[in-house]
Amino acid sequence: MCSAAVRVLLVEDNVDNQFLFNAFVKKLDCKMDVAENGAVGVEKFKSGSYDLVIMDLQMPVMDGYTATQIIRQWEKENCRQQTPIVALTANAVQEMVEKCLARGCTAYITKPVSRDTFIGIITQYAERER
Amino acid sequence: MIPSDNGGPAGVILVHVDANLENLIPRFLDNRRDDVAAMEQALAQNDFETIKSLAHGLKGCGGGFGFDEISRIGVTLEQAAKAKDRAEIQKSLGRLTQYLTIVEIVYD
Repeated sequence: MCSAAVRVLLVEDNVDNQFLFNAFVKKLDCKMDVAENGAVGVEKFKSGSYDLVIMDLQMPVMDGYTATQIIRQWEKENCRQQTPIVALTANAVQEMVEKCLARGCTAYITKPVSRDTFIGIITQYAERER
Repeated sequence: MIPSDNGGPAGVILVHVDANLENLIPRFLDNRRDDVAAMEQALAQNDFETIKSLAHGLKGCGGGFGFDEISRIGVTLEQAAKAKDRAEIQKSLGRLTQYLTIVEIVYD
């Protein structure tokens, strides 16, 4: 289960989902920062320290594919271990899945997302890194 | 009116929502009413991209809050917007408006 030190970066433009996912982790004492698009997500990732990134794919300004690619390149250039990036998509068609994995996503989940699925992702990926 | 298929009074749709989300629901439903207004306006301007984008949002968030029907309507609306199918868009917006009018929430 999610413990106090687990740090999650949520990159998601949908305000309702931002509130929803914050409500999901509220009782778990999990620190989750929110970025409203890929560009903000990349900057937060570079300046922060996260166990897991949850990345929406379709966003304004910069989409999740591009943000993931930039994060992976930055990790490589800075000799960092890869942080798990779990993609959020409302279109789980094969082409999109292959594209997000090719850009460096670790896994993907399909929106809408239930509480159990969201917590399961944090447990599976973030805790594994600690 | 849509008949109840979930044990509620006739003409009402009962939706069971996690009590931990109770304070988020009024705003969530208000935002969906805003979506309907925005999509109606977009349809009047033949702005199918805006409808597609808003429908995509409906699809991605409805079920997470417990409103599976909103996600289903989002799927239909997104496809209709891609096909520029005005009749289906109008029909789905009517379906969403009616749903938002008659939905009743049980927090548990």
